[in-house]
Amino acid sequence: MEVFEARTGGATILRIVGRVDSSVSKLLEERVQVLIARDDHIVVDLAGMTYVSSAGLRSFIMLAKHARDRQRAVALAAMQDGVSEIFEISGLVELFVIRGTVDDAVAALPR
Amino acid sequence: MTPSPPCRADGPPAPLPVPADRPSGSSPRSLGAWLALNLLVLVVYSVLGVVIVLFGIGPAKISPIYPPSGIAFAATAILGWRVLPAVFLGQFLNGFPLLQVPGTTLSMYTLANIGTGIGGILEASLAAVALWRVAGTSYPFERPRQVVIFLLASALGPAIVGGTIGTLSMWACGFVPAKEFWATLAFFIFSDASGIAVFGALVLAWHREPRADAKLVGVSLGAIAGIVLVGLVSAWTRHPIFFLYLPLLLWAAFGGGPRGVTVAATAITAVALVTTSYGVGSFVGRTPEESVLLLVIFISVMTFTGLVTVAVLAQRRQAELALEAYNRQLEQRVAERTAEVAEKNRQLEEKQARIDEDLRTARVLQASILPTDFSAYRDTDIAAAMRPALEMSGDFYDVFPLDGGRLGLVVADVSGKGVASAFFMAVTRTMLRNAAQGGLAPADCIVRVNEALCRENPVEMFVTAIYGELEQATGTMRLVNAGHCEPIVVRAGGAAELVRRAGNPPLGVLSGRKFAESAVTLGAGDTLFLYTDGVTEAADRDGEMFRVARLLEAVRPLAGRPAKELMLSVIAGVESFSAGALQADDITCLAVRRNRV
Repeated sequence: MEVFEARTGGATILRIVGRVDSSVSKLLEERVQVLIARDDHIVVDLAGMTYVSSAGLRSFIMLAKHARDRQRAVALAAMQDGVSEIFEISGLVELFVIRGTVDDAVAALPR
Repeated sequence: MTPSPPCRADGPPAPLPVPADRPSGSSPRSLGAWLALNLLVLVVYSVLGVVIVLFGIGPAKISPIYPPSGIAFAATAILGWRVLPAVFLGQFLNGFPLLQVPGTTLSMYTLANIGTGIGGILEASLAAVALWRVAGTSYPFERPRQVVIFLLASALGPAIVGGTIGTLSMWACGFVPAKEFWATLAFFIFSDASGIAVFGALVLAWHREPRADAKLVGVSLGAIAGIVLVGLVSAWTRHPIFFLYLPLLLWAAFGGGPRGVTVAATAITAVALVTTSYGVGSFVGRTPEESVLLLVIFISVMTFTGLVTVAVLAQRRQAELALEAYNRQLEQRVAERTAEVAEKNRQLEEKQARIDEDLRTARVLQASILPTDFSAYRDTDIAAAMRPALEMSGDFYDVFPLDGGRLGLVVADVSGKGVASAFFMAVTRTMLRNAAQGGLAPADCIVRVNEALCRENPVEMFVTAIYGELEQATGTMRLVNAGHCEPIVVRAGGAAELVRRAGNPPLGVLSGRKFAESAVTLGAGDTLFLYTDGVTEAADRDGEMFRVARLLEAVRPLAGRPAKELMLSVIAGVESFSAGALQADDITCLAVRRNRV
């Protein structure tokens, strides 16, 4: 897994590339903590995320919970089909704003 | 070395006239005592004045040293202004040789000696004040700086004042011819200055600590004997061996401190003076004046050397004492800190031991709330296991009977591991059991638990869980999967299939939400296998995970086998897969086989 960060008007774009499983979920959670502390809205670009395990899903749930506590929105963008299915059957789609592209996701964030 | 003075070492000098706290030995407040004190000073002053004349050099009986000046200075410095009458009178009377000068009248004599007496008072007072104010002490032997100030400000300076006044008075009254004025002035000043330097120092040094120990007495007597011997030899052989006084002086300084060195300096002065007055020894010049000059220079150099030596020694000793004290303090601090650290360590170890003990107890407690004996269930074959990755686990399973021959089955995984997760697990388990035994349908049980966890969740935890209700008679099962791993149904015929999730989120994440149920029917010999992600995400040494695909492969050959056999086989498969890698997550399995009827 690799994580890249960029900022655009009021939002942080987090690009995750590779597999997110238990071996890296801790790392992702730490990155997420730092991001949340910054009080930005967050767009996660998942175009490069090929797999997410249940431990990886936990990191996303943490992200959603922390963001909600601080009234920040989290949008997931450009999910691959397999990943999208995992989010759906896990019942996590309700936690996030989900859009097909990063631009749409940024546009969907509250101003 | 002498200890610090009890009353004053440094710091601002006492106001003048001298206060009673000065170590005067007695407090002569009455007139009688005052008279006695003055008489004593007068006698010492006069005796020394007479004796020194006996050893005067040349027909004019001039001397390189005038001991009464030292006595007057020391008496004033130690006893205060009240001894000044004795100083005046002593100086007045000591002028008696002037009476022998032809043509002297009593009035001239009186006038001249009133002048020298006033000079003597001024000299002694100035010298005492300079000692207190400039050197800042009445014991100027502890720093080289004090010695230099003492010699310049208390000896030379006041001697110039006293000598000038005295010489002028004698000249004015006709006792000093004009052509001898400058020579007389010079010798007056020299002799007064060396008197203060040698005898003043002697009295000040001994006044501070009059009792001498055996070593000091030995060193002093030894130095005197050596000095006398050197004097005799130099007188006998007429060789200039005066430099031999130096080692004796230094010996007295090292062995006897200020008291020893002042005794030696006085002895050297006396021996040099006596031998010279007899016209022998190393200091006999071509004229008496030359002899006196040589003696003055020699006495000054000896006194300066001796006093500076003891001052340097005292200073070094003080530095050593300070260093020792500092070292002691440092060692004590280190010892204290070491003890503190040891104590802290002990407390920490104690605390750690207590925590370990608590954890062991908690683990036993946690394990004990999980059911292990399933022999009471006749229609269903059940096996379950939990392997925590840490001391405390966040996983749990549960099996409990419900009304109408139904069976409650739970496998859950609390986010995180350790003590907090274990608490959360216990709370969740109890809530779920209460809800189920209260007769609620599976989806309603889960909703109730979800609401409770959303409401009372201070630590941001959540639980993925499967709760199923198995009707043992028919094999129908209603289950709710809240964000948990998909269970596997192993058909008796050898097929293995996943029970797909219905899109429910984990518990404790979203409140106000409905949860969807799934339905499964177990035929005779079919097994439902529930597990946590510790199974599918167990990693081997290269980080490759076990995954659902391997799990399905692992259970297929065990179709129809007893629940325990299937479960143990799965665990063994996972363990051999991840052999050599650290167990990252708790591993929990629950296998439920419907028996053939």
